[in-house]
Amino acid sequence: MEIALMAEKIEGQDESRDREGVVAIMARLIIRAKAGDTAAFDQIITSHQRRVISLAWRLLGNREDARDAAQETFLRVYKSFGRFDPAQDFNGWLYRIAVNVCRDLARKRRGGHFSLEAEVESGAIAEPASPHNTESAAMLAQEQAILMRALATLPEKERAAIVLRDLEGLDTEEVARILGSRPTTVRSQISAARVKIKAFRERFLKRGTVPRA
Amino acid sequence: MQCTHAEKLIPLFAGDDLPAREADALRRHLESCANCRRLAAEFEEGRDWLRGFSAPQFDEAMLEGMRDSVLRDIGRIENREQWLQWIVPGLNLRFAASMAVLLLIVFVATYAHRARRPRMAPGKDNVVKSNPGGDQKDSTDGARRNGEGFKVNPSPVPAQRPPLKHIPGINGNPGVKPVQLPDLAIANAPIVPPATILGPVFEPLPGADMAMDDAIFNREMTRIEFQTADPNIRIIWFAPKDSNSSSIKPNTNTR
Repeated sequence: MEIALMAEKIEGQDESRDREGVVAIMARLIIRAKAGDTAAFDQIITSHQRRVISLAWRLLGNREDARDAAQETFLRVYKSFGRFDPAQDFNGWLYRIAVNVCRDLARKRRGGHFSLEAEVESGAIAEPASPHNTESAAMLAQEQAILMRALATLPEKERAAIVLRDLEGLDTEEVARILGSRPTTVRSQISAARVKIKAFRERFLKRGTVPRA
Repeated sequence: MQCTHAEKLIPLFAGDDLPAREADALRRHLESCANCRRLAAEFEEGRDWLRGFSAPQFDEAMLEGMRDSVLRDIGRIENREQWLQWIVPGLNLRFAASMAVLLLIVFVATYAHRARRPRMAPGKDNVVKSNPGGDQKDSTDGARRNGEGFKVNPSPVPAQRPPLKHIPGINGNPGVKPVQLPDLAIANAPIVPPATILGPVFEPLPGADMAMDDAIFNREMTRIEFQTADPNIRIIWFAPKDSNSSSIKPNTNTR
């Protein structure tokens, strides 16, 4: 029950509920998990897995890699729980680990370009808006494909900064903490990324096809 | 504000990333500049486009599989730790690693100390003490080698002195080569004090030098030799065969 309620709150489906209550539940779970309670850790995974896997997918652009990254992220969280201070922001800490894991994975599979075609073919890029409106679904899928390719053109750090800031909705200071940079550095990375994405989108709109990365 | 400066700020302005003071200044500029206003609108459009980038829906089966894998790995880690604890109760891995490093340091230090310790002259006691005095025949048949590769003679016959290798600074005098006595077993002998006179020295009587000498050397003498414990000292005694010549004292000169 506790986990269902918390998952619901954390997934953002009912954000109007008491946020402090969620934080308190989370803090209790973290303390229990730190003491070696696997059930508590299971609940932590359940409540955060969608966020982590989505972030990994946005950074890696591939379902399988995203799954592996999420798995490795939670393993690292479990192993380094001893060093986690409960007074610290757990989400920020989790994001930081996830970003590092994605970075490691991308380096390991260097040449690690977005397997865009596979994603589009598998229909993973976008869910159809309605089964009857296949044309709009196809358009949405294509637009998602362009977006993904646009992200793929960005350098690793710029991509991480823009994903955390514009897609995950974190503020610049938080992004800086997660990436281990200064806020001014993150701002310049975000600015550069926005300029590149805009240019990419304009090229696409002019040509009407997905530009090559 | 100049347009060039505004163009640099617009990407951040579009994402609400500008500090309030700069944002206000840019807003004032946008009111008066149509080009920059259009640029800002494009960036805002691009931002909205980007924010529409939703991650695909991951099905429950996939998420559950991922969670199960994580929990399985965690279980494996815990089992391994329990197994280690069972082998060494109360095992603290950090403590164990520290102890291993400490032991390694002690071992290396001991080894280095032993390697630096000066070595003794190789096997110098073995040959001399095994048989002080005796014949000087080579006894390589019965010879065996000690741990450092030098011959040790187990037989009562002393080993012949091996060919002299370069031993720098024998007797503390690097310029003097050791003299090889032809019939003495001094192989690897320790440095000994100068030979001492063990008996009364033969002194010829005054006034009778030549005659006495002639008398002595014309007589038939018996040579008697004694080898002392020190291979450098040998007592040689010349005694007349004639029993009347007891007045002549034996020559007990050494060497």
